Amino acid sequence: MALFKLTRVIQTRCNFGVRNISFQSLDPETRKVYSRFIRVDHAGEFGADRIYAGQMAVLGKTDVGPTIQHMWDQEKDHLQTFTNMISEHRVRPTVLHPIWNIAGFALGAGTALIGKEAAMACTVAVEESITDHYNKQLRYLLDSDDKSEYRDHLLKKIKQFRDEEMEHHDTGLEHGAVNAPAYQVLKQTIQAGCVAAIWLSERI
Amino acid sequence: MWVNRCGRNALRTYSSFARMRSIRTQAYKLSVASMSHPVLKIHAAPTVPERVRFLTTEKDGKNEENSKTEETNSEKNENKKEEESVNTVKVKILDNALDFVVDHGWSRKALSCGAEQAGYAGVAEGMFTGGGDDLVLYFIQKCNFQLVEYLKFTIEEHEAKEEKIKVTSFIRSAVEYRLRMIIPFIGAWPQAMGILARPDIFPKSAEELAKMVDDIWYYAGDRSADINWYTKRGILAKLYGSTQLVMLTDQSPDFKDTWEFLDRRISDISNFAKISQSVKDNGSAFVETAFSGAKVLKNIAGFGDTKR
Repeated sequence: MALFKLTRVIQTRCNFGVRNISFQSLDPETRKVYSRFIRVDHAGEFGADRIYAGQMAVLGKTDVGPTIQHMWDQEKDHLQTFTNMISEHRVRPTVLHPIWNIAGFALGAGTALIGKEAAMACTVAVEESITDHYNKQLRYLLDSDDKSEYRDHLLKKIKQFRDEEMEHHDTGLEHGAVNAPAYQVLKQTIQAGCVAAIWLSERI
Repeated sequence: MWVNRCGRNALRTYSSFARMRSIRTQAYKLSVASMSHPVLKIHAAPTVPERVRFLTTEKDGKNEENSKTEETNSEKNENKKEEESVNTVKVKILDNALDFVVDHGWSRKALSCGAEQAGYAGVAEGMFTGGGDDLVLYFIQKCNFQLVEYLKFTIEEHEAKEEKIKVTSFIRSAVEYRLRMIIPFIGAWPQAMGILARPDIFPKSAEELAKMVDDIWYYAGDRSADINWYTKRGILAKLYGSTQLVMLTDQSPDFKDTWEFLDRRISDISNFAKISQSVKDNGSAFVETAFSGAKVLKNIAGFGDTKR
């Protein structure tokens, strides 16, 4: 039955929440750039989802549990948006998906094991990287010549996600991220890792 | 003597003319040969897209040079129209050339016969810098395009009958349909496979294979967004490649052995999928057994605590 419904989806091109915006009708250069955006954003949100999963596995029962759970739920929603875009617009996902699965969980659980502040420091570092990355994408989209409905949709979604990531960043700071042991070192290392992950996921 | 001098002059003039003509011919031949030289390409006019798309309305194959230079809109439109008419001519020649592949292989000879059949001069095959390679690539693109039409049609059929699509049978019918398109050219197919495997052509043929495999899985209903995207397409590409090889040496009536090979490979793959799924399901039980076994060994060796 589910498969039948799927075939209906193909037939009517009724995209989940991307209401009949035709990705395939964009010109190839733009399509390539947008595919890259969707691929790397999907990888980023998946990584963030796994990081929060790792943190919850360690700190779930503590007093910061609900805060992390709330941030995790928002990340899950972001991930679902990008998964839908990949499925509907036939974007190739990143081949490093299993690596981000393990690395994200390890990072989240590892920093949570050091302590609550370290987990918050990890959140701050990752969210800062992601915010920078989204800002770059937003600047590109705002400057681009393409005036299609698809660009507007992407712009709206990325703006919304960027705002939520900034909220997470501020939440992390509120919960004492700066008090983490070796805060600067931890932050710089994690951000270097994020930059490398973004660079790789854009290409492969 | 005067007559002799005249004659000698005439001979000298004639032979110098002949030499100039031969030099001009050589220069022309050189210029034709150098059309494919990367440095001189910018001087070869008119620039045309590398790959000919079957659908001339598709905006793929944009003229790279035009997009780099600054042009007015009207010039761009003119260039586009010229490009489209060139594409139409190329497609016409390539379509006709396919009729001659059986006799002449994937070669310039086939292209030139095709050009003549299409009503152009035989030398119109010079439009194709790659020669026989362009013909092979065009044939593959055409086959993949027809395959997509067939896949859409299959889905519509199933929907009309309100039936559920079984993934394995869908893929099997897609692979069989696509392989059957090669049958008319099977005598020349080893040559085509050789061309497609050449290092300079291989990126393009790999791209076409990837697109075909992606199309088949997409219409079969695959919407995965993780590593399964790659494993599924890799398995299908391998399946297609191995069945294609079997088909080349198959002498049975209507390639019956090939389709039986295809059935066996597909059942192997689905068995493997079932086994790996059951391993995943039973994996936790296996891990627990392993851990309890390790604990018993530790106790025997004296390292473990005496808790059971």
